Amino acid sequence: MKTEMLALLMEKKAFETPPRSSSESSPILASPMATPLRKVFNRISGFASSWGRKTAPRGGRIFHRDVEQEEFQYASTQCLSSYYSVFVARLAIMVMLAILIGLLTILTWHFTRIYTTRSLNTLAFGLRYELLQRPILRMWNILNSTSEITTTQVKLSEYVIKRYSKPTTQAEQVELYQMMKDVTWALFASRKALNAITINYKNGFVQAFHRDHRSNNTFYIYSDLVNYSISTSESYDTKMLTSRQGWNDQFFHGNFSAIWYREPLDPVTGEKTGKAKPIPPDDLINIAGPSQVPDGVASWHVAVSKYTDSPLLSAALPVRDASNTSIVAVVGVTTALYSVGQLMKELVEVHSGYIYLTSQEGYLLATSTNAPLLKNTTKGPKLMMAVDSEDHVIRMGAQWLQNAYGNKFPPGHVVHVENANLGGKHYYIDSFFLNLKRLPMVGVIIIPRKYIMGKVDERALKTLIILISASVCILVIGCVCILILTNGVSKEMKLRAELISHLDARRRAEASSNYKSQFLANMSHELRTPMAAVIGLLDILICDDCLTNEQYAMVTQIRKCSTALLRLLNNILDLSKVESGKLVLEETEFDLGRELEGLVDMFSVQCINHNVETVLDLSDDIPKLVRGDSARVVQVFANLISNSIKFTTSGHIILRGWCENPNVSSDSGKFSPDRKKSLSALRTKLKQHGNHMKKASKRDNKMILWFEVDDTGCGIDPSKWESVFESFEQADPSTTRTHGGTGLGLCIVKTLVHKMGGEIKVVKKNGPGTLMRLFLLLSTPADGTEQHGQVDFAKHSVAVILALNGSMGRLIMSQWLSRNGVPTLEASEWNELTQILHELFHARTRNCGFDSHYSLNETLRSKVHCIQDMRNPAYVIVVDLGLLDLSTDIWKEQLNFLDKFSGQVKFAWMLNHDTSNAIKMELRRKGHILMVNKPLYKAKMLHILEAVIKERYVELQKRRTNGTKGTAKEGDSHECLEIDSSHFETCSSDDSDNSESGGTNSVSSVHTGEETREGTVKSSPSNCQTLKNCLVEFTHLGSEVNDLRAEEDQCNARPKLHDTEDTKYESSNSPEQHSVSSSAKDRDDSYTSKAANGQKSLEGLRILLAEDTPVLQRVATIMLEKMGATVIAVGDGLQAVDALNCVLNGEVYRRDSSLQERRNRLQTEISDSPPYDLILMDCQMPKMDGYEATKAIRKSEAGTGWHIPIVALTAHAMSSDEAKCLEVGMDAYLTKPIDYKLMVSTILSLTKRSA
Amino acid sequence: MDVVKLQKQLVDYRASLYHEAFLDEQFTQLQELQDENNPDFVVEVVSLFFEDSERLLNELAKALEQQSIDFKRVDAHVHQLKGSSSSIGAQRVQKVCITFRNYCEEQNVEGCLKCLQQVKHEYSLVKTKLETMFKLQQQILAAGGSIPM
Repeated sequence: MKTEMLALLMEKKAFETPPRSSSESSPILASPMATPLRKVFNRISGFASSWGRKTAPRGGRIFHRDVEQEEFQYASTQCLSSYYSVFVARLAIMVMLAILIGLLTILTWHFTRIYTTRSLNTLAFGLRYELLQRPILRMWNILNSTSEITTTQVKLSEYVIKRYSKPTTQAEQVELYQMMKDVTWALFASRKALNAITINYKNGFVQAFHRDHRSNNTFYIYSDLVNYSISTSESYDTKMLTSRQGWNDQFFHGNFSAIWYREPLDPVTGEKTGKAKPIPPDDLINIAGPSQVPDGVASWHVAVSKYTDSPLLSAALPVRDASNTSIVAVVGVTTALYSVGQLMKELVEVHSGYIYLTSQEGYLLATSTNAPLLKNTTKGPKLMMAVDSEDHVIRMGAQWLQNAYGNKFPPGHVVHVENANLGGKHYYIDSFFLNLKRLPMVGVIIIPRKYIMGKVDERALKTLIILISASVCILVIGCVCILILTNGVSKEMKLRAELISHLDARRRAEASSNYKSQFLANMSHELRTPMAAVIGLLDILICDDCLTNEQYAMVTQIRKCSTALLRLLNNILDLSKVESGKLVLEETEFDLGRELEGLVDMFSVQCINHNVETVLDLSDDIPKLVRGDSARVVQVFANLISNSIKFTTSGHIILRGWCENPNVSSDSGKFSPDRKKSLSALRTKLKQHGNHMKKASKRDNKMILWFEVDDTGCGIDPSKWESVFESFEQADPSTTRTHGGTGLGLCIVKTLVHKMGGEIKVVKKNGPGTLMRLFLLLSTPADGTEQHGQVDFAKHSVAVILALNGSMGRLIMSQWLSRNGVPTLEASEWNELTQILHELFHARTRNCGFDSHYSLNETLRSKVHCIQDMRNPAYVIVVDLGLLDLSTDIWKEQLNFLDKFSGQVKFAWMLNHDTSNAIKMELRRKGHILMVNKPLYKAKMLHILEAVIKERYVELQKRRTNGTKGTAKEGDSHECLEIDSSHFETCSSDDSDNSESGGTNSVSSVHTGEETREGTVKSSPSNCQTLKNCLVEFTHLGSEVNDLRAEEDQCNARPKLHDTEDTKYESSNSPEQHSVSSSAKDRDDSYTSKAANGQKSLEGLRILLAEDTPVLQRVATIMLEKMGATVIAVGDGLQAVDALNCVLNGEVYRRDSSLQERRNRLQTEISDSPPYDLILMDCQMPKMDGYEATKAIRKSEAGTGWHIPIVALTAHAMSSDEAKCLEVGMDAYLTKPIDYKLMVSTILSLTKRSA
Repeated sequence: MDVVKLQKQLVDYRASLYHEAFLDEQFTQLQELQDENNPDFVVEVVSLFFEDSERLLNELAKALEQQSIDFKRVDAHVHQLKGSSSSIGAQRVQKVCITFRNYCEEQNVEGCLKCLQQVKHEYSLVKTKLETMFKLQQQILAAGGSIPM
């Protein structure tokens, strides 16, 4: 439970943080927790992988398990684990969902973002490249044009100088210069972009044109000619050749000394517009000197001037003389880079960003901003480094580049940086390298990232936010869904776990209940033995003659109580036997009708005192023979009837029985309407049950037999209808006080009925009382299905007058008779009978005057007439002896009255069990030989009718053969006798009495005491069969005879006692008892009387006792010897076998002597060494136990024709032991400690047949 | 000594034995079996019981002392003891025997040993009680009286 709780808590926790669980599920799992939880998770990890496969079949299996209780212990743990697995499944699904959604989000974001970025980047790269390319191209153009002009100037200069080579005079010199000036002007004017063209001659003379773009003025600058001589040029030349530095210095120094003039010119025409003014040399524009062409090749450099705020690009080229050996002049062309900057500005205006060009060293050449490119120092304007630029973006860009790369630029200075962070903003930085000879340049473009990627970044952010929020939403919804979905499952799991625990509890409860039953069943021996001993000892005491009357009464009372207690014990033990499943139903054929008739006979005796009528009403279709446990069937009805009797003070008790046959509906006509209705209701109710049962019954020849026990007692409250069948349950608690009883009877009935495949319930009934209805599923013997041959009474023209007290029995009987075509008249009292007789035979009995007082009602009259219409009917009048007035002597007169009709009618007398002998004698004297004991039922009626018909037939025969009436009568009586005795043979429980035959049965013997004993003595060979059946009971019950009269008021005790003990004996005596020969008569007589006295009853018997315990051996020996038996005691099974074998061997010689002879010898020569009459065999013995010994004995007996009865002595009281005993060939068994009486009766029952 | 007094003492003593459940009706049966043919039947049987029981108790003690206990044998002994004790009606011994056999079935050595002690105890108790009773009977007989039933 604790782990479960923890798991629940855990689950909750997991669900409270579902979004986190996706990414942090493993940290949760790994977080420190209690050990049970860790176990749970260990299990979880095992399940997680195979979850999908496992859960569904698991559920199914659990349902199976609900049915299979054997695997119960495991089921609860299984349930727990599946309970965990639900929890795991939840977690797993959530984690999976989270992972899925996360992946989706990332992928979506990736594809939207990365591809856009990449394509945009490609585009942006092109753009940037283009942007930078254009200023660089412009730069390139500028350089090109500069170089072209320089070259042109050089060529022109060479040409002019060649013309005027070696000027000797001043004039020629001037002319040369003038010429040069014109040529240069022409060039200068043609190129507006030029800033200046300078020509620096070898002699230091300088000519230059300068254009000031700011003031849009054009100047001609020249130096004073005076200071220059051509002669000096030579020295220069040599000096220049020797040392460049020296030449340079001299060159400039010389220049400094010269006077420089500047005259403004018309920019278009070149006409002199102003006076030439001398200017200081430092105001000069950058004049290219020989220093700039050291190697005689063209050179480039960037210069600054006072007049322009942008850097200037100046190129210098030497002018060589005709021989091409010496440099005569240096031509310099200066171009402002202003236009490049202009272009950049224009470009940047369209696209945002910054562009700048630097020299390789990092000096700014052009920018797209207006920031100054030059810085003013004390030495005049100087180029500015890019890192010092006033525009902070450029400065930062340059600084960034420097930081990133320092001086180690990648080859070609090509850098593409996409995400440079400049002052908090992101920029694209690209640099290109322009490799010009002597003037390598680097172009850098800085474009804010926002310009290109701004929208994309924004979109990407938005997309990401939307995606994340969407996935979080989906995750939350998903988790909630899972929670809801799995909640059902977990609830189901919880319910299932509960169910399983309930089932478990129920199983345990059942088990404990079983233990109880088991205990009781095991205790049966312990409980029964002392009771049997008590009763047995009491019997012995009662037989004692020395008791005073008071003592006798007391002992009788004690015995009564003891029997009651034993009965109660038997009930409880029966019940527990059934409950513990130890009751095994026998499967033997028996006559159901006969058993029930016997039962009714028995109870009717009890009922007569109660003024209650017991009626048996079995329908004709009930099979005669059925297979089943007769004792248990009888027990069922005995319990039901005794229960009914207990609660019925007046009225009737009807035991109805009919056979379920759904195919035949004709027989339902004989049922009363209400019963029919309820029957059909029951049928429909049992349809489904019956359907498969019917199938089974077809195959096994099974029948559903319905029975009803209907009484007119106090009834049962409908709310108690179910519970009356529970153990120790009574409909009304107060009944215990008034009626006594334990409430076990009906419970036993119910369990037995269930055991026999039937059902019992209380059914609603019209009128007072209770109606118990039950059906039993009994199989009929395959061959004996034919109905007993019914005599067709209709053709014998018999009419019956039922003069009976009990209205119900009369009614049922008359109904049955009329169904069978026998016209019936009913009379309930003497007067009615006389009236009917009068009506029938009025012509002959005029002397009776009753007709004036009593008039028959119409229906009766019509019936009478109907009978009168019959041709020569045989009248049978069944007269209840109770109709006669027995209290006074009037009955004799009444008898005389009836005698008058004896010629025309046959009388059958219904006797009470206590009818005095005087009356019987009187009846017999008058020739009324048909006498039956109450109650009247079908079988008895049949016999009466058969007897009458037979008699009539004989009479008719006799009449034809002219025989006298007297002889005929004698013949009749003999016939009757035969009929009756044959009837006894088939119907042992029948209770009719006939003085001539003297035959009787167990029940009547019990009731009639002394007389019975006489009857037994006188038993004729013809009813010996009956006698044999009775003997077993009799020997046992004989001792009870004395007090049975006193016991009559609680007679219901007897059938039960009788039943249980009867079965016991039947099982122990088995079928062999039927082989007892009739010649045992005399012996029977002697031992019955002796058994009753309990003295010397075993006289002359030789008994072999095999018992290892000395004490028991001694006790048993004395017990047996006391009763006159000769006892040979041995210590173990082996000795027993040996003892027997030597006797048997000895006996072989004498086997040829006839059986009769041997018997005689047995009776007369006891001192001789005959075989043992009986062996008492302890089951547990050393060397050889009782079972083995019995087997050996039986083996040695084989072929000799002997069967020495062996009685087992066992300390176990279970039926299984009994079965084992019987299996190995023992005949009976006794439980230790030995019960004196029981032992004697058992020995007697076994020895009488072998005697 | 007064014979009547002795007789009364015997009856009381015997009643107390029944009352304290040392004996049951089986003993009564034994006494009933005693007649002039077997005048010392009860004494004979009871002394048989003593002999047998002592033998069995010794056997049991021996069997239970062994390293590996043969429960089957122990069970057989106990069964015998139970049989003989129940035959003379020494029901307290018999009851302990029943418990003893249960332990035997469970193969519970400790239970068996405990039961053996109990059986010995009960046996000695019933032995002294019976011996006392027989002594009383002898005294009565010596005094010339008859033994009341």
